[in-house]
Amino acid sequence: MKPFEDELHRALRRRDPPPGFASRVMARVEQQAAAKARFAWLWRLRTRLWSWGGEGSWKRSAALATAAAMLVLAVSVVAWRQHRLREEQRQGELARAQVMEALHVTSIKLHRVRTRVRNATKDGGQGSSEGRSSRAKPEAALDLASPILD
Amino acid sequence: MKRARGKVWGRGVSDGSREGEVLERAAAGDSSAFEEIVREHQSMVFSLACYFLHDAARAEEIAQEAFLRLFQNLDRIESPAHLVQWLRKVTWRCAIDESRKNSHQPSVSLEDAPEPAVEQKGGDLLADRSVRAMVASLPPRPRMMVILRYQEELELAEIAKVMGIPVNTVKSSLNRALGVLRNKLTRVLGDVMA
Repeated sequence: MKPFEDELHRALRRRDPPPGFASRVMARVEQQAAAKARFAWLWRLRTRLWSWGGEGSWKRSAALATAAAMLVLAVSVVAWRQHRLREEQRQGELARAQVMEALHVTSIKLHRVRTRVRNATKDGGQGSSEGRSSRAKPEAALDLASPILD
Repeated sequence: MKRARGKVWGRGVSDGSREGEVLERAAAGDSSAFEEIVREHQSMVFSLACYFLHDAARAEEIAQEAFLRLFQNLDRIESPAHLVQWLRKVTWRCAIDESRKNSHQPSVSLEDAPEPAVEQKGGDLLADRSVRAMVASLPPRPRMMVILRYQEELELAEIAKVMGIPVNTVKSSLNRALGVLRNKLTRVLGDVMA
């Protein structure tokens, strides 16, 4: 063997790791085993899925595709239901606001009508001659109609 | 000095059936059997990482990571020979990832790591350090090829298998790397090489 290769062999011979290396590895292994035990069910599921039908089999691919499709479908259904719920709430609030507005307008109109009726009754009671009251009637009628026609 | 070439468990000092039995016990969850595997292969894994990264502390991290991955994949290991091959492959992958991730200066130099318990002359130690520093200066792929060739004494096909590249690529890269090393070493250690 050439001196050059001898030199490489000698310089690159195996060397031992620092003392306690194996114990440190075992400590990490124990840690990992404990963590693995906590998530054993997930690990089993993963292993089962992974080993099902062998590497690269159509069964596993189909199962993964189906699982992905089901996940997408489930997420879509939940999202759609939430969207629909929000839309219904929005429409309900809109209808409620419209009803409230209509009631408000109606109450104003009724108030005006009542005021006019009261005024007209008062005017009719104070008039002495029949002719005067007959002249006042069309105006009162107009006054009564005006708030509704406004 | 000559070692078995990765066809058998570790350095070829133990008998095949016992190794298979230890592997089986470890795969069945026997932690003492796994510890035995770690002790058997720790110097191979640590040295691969250490010469590649030229940093003993990072090499220990990588070696621990390789054994942790082994623990996770024990059920996929078919035989003691497969185990050795698998460990070399994983160590290479971990080391190359580490060298890409951290390109900082070594925190603990290779020279501070414990030397093997073999008497050496001062001149030899100096020469070894120079050789290791030169190997560490090679680009990652040829560096690992040189380490696998001279530390593990692997054939070109075995190196190709570990690194997942064609044999011809290994042949050409290794020849080029050895040419560079030979020139450098001749310049630096001319009298030693003569």
